[in-house]
Amino acid sequence: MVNKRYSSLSINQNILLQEKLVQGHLSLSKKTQLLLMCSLGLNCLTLVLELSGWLIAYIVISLLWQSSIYLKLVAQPNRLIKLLVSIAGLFLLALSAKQLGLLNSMVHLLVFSYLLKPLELTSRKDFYIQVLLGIFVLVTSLVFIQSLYFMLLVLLFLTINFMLLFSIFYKTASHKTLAKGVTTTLIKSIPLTLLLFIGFPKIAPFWQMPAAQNAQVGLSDEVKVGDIAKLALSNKLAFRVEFDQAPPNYQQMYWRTLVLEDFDGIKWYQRKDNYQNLWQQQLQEEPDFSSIIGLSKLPLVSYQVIVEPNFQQWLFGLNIMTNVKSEQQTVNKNRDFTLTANKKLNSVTSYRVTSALTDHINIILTPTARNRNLLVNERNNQALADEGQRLRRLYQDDLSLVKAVLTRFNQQNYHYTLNPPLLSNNSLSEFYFDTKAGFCEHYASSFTYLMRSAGIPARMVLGYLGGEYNQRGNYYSVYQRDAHAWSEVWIAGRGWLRIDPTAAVSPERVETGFSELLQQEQNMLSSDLFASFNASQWFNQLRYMFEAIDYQWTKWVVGYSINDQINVINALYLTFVQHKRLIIAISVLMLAMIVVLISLRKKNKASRFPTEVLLLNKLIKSANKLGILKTPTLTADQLAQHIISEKPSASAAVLTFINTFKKVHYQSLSADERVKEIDKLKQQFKQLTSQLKQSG
Amino acid sequence: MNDLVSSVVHQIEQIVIGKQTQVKLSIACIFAKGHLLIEDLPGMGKTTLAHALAATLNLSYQRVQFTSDLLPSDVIGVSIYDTENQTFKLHQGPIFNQLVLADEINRASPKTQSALLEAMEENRVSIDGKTYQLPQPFFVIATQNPLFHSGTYSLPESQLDRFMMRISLGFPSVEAEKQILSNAFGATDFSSLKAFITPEQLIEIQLKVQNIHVGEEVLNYVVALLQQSRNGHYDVNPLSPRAGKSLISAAKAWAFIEGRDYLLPDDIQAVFSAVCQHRLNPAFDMKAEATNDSSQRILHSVDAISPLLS
Repeated sequence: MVNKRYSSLSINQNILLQEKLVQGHLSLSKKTQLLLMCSLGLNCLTLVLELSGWLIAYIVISLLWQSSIYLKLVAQPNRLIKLLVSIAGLFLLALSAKQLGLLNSMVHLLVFSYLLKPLELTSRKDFYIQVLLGIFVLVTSLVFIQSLYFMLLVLLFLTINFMLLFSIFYKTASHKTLAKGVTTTLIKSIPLTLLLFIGFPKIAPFWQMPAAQNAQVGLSDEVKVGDIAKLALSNKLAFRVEFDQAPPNYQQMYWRTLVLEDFDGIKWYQRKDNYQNLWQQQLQEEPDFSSIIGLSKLPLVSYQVIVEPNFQQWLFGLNIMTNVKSEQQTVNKNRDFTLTANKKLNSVTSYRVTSALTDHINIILTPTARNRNLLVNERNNQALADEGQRLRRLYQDDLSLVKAVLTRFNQQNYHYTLNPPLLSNNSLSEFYFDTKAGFCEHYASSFTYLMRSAGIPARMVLGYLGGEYNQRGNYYSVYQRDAHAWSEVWIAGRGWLRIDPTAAVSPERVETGFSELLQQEQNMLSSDLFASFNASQWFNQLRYMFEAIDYQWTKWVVGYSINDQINVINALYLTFVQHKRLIIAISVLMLAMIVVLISLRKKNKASRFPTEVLLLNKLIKSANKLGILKTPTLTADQLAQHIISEKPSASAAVLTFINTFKKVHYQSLSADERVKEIDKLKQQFKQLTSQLKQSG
Repeated sequence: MNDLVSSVVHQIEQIVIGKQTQVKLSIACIFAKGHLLIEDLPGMGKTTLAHALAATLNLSYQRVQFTSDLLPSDVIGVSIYDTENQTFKLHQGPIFNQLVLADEINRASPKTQSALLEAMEENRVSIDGKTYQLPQPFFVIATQNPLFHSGTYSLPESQLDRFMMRISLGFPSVEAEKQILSNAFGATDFSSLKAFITPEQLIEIQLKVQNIHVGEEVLNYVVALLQQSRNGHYDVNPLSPRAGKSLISAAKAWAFIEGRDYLLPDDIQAVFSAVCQHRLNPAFDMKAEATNDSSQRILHSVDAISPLLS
């Protein structure tokens, strides 16, 4: 008939045209919309600690709003509404920008744009941008938190983002299938990730990462009575230490951090000219390491310290830190024998220290230093100053005077508590004579003050005491609650001698460590379920294990530096050189295995399809070279028409092949007939392919 | 037989110019014993197509103009007391014809619309408790104006489902429109139409259509398409098994017109939109049709050659 060919062709063209249009228009399935909302909420959730209140409110409202748009409860917003929403958000952002600082403002802007993008998803491109933005938002959270467990959470959320991306390609797949697909893809990407992590050059960022958080954590360089008690309740990790050899005794683990030499009657201060700015000036008058007498005879201990970001500069070590090395930071050794970093610690920092274990630093005291450490500010503490002078008259020898005070702490009715009675004007005298109850700071500062009044140079030292041993990881965790204060007095012949007055009052505080003591006190104070849970053995075991894993993570992954990288690559190269033949043999074997596996898989896949479909698929592939694309709706007849229009010379061969294909695939044939027809089909296929090739 | 069919198609194409696909679909619908719904703006040639079909197929033909005050008895007929014979005598309504054109069906009230239901489904009508068989073959061709036109009731889904196909003619192409405008008088001259087929021949054709072979791969294709409509990713009504049966019947008729005695996926594709779109999405939206046709989306997500394996 006349119109037969023409009409069916026009339908095909119509279908092809519509296919194009369908591709251009983005219509999200219900599943994709659900995933979109999920990923939006979860990605923002990872940053929730950094975001300001108004943005969190914005997130919640826009999530509700967009969900109701997708549920078709509300109409899509028009341009005016979108514009208003964006301007309002930008206005709020501008208002809070100054308070937020540069980094946080940028994060806010990012989250904000990510939130509003779903309102204008009109094409595939928009959708891709949305997913990319989401992943960027998610990864930004790692700037703020780097723990392993947070990382795992981020990885989980990343899976959801990828599921969202997958869902647009696999419209009909269920959530389970998507999750499976994403997981397999992620697992497949592990080797590449490892390769990149180990091998890709760790270039320092082109820009300076601004301090993410300005709130300081831990000790501060000025201390008044009662300050440390606040830290005592903090379970925040300060730093972790791994000793190269047997660790020192608990009583030796005084992590010297800050030396406070100025007292104004209420607060102890670190000398402002102590380090950095007046470095040169000090050189003239202060002693340095070379002036320590007998340093070479002291036992040495070396260890690695991994400090959590605390946004401060000081570092921790045991008395006397002689040798310090860090890859991330330049470390200064200060004249008061403490350590400081060049920059604030805004990421995990590790350094190696060698310390001479001793309780004194034997140096000659310069007259300036002597005078400074004898200064007594009598404000609030007149009685204590008088007491010092009285003691001086009683004891000529410095050490006996020290001992006398310690004996008083030990034998009179002093006791150790974290809830001391309130002191008026933070008066040390009141504590010393009346209340007689306090913790390390009370004892250390009143002791130091008393010594100065008695004419013995003395100063306050802040730091941490001890730490919690993790058997699983063989390292010590020092928490903020381990913060401690003690004194140093200068005794002729011994130099700066460490005296811990708290030890005189509460020896167990020094011997078993604060963490344990605190635990007991807490258990006594609160009889709630959690406390008893906390104390239980298995919980501690579990906690140690998790902490040990996190420690390894911090040490090897977060702290993986360019030097580590070079070492690893060198080691790998060395192994390669040593076992060259073996490695080449293994790689060849693996390659061969992969090839076999792939071919097996192909065969497996092939067996699912009947022969005629396989042949047709081959034809489709060669048709591909002619510019004919396979669409799902492409049928055998349509394929034939396309090929004929591209290659009229092959038309006869194409038609014979396609007709036999139709016969085999769509008509009822007996088994015998089928075998015959398939043989025919194979022959025809050969002819057809040779014809297609011949004509170029 | 093929010559016969092609001359039928050819003749109707002379009347309804430039609409080969739609003409073929409507003939396929009749060959597959289905009722046809033509939906479009007024003046697009809906009624012309129905007239041409009736004349060419040599069927007894009656047109009913549906209006809001049309009563069921106006369609199916009424019993009137015959004073001479002292009995009730049935005055047959227009439904007692082989081809009934229900023009602008959605202007009538639902009650009148549903009077057609029994006729369409069972080929018979009940009047005053008595059942009357309708003449064979029996077809309803209904035309409908878009729903946004004033004075229209929407057809309920159950009634839409009785129609095997819904087609719309659409605006003609430039050349076709020129041709329509140039023979201003010839176009509506139905008297010149030849009757090619007798009703008996039509019934024979319908039988042949029924006997067309459906291979397993084509069945797989139809099943995959039906499944695809049900998996909930398209905002549509899922297709029922009845829709699947209609799809196969219509495709068989299409294959018959193409001169084949077995079904190909091409046949399914050719009739899929006409058979399924009104079942998937009852509303008729002229703007959405081009880009967002849900039947096209379903068609495009199933592989035609190995449907269950992809």
